[in-house]
Amino acid sequence: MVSILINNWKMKGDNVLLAFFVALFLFSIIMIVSESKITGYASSGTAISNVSVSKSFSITLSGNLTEGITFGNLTTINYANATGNNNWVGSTNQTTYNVNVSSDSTVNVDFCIKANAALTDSVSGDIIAIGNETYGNATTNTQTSPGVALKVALTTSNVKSGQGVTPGISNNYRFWLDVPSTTPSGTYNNTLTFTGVEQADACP
Amino acid sequence: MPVHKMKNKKIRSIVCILFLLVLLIYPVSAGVGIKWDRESALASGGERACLTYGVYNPWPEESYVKVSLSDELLEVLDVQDTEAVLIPSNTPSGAAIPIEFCFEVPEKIYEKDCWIGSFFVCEQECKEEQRVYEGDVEVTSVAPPEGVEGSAAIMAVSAPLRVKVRCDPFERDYTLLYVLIGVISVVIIFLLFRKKYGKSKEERLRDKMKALKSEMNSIKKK
Repeated sequence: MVSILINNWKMKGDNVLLAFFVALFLFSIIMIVSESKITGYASSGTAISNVSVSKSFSITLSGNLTEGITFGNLTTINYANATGNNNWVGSTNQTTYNVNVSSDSTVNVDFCIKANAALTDSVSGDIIAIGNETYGNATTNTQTSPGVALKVALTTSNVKSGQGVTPGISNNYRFWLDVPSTTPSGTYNNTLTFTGVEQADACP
Repeated sequence: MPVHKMKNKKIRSIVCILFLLVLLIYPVSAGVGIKWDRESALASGGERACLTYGVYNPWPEESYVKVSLSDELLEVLDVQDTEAVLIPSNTPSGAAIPIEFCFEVPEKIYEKDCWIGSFFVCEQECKEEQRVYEGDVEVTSVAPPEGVEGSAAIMAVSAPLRVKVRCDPFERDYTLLYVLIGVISVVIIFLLFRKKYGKSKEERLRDKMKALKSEMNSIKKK
């Protein structure tokens, strides 16, 4: 009798279990469908408003600047003027170190300047400290502007030099070099980078 | 020759000489230009975003430039069209040479709250600040003149570039949990059916006989 009951109970238990899991399966299907959140679509009319903003600017270095900033062959230790600082041809006394903003540019341009290193003699490794190479800049170009009174020392980090230079206008530079008396003889050079950015943007 | 024609010829000669003088004093050189229509791209985690910048040179000499991105952007840079470009002289901004940059935004930028790992029943609340990869596109003239005694000069133009990562908030998604429940249910249902109907007809009859025998024995005992 007991075994019959057990057998019956087993059979009934299996059926209950089967019913439970079938229900659970159906429940999971219903929940998956409800999780997919099928909704209706709202319909509305739209009008598209569109504007596109484009910016561009271009710069070039003057011929003298492209050829490099030379301080000449110094036979005495002194304070050297770069050779292109003053154009004596025609007695205009203007600097020929210019960075020009093309007239088709659509934004004003700020300029950033940096040196890759101090002036270095590649053979001996001797240097002239970077702070000894200085520059002045202005959008005017006369005998006194850019002037030595507002000279700034070069650094190896990019810093703003000219600011808000309008299309068609040049940012003009003069360079000076203070050669200490202890400087060993040699040929010293480095590279300066002039970077144009849109006015008010940070230097890269 | 009439006097006014001679005058015109003289004026033209003077203008030509002045123009040549200006060219000699300010020799023209190559230049670099940059044009951009869009400086930001918005993408979700795991998505790809592309931005195009144009390089041009409206000056009378061709220039050879190198295009580079600042270090912050290299972290997500996927494809850069090219590194060095020759820009012909007199290329206006309208005919700028396009350079495309594509970025693969990492999948796991914003924090997700999950029951197990980073995949099982997750929700995202987007309480963090928007992640922005910010840097510059820099176009630099290649190779300064050699043999300069002093400072060689190179030029560059730069424009900003931003890749903003969108955070899409979502509620806890239980789909995977329900799928798991469904799969387990199916497996158990299959096992129960197999247990019940998996035996041959002979075995099932034998089981029935056994059950009947035990029933009869129990009646006899009574």
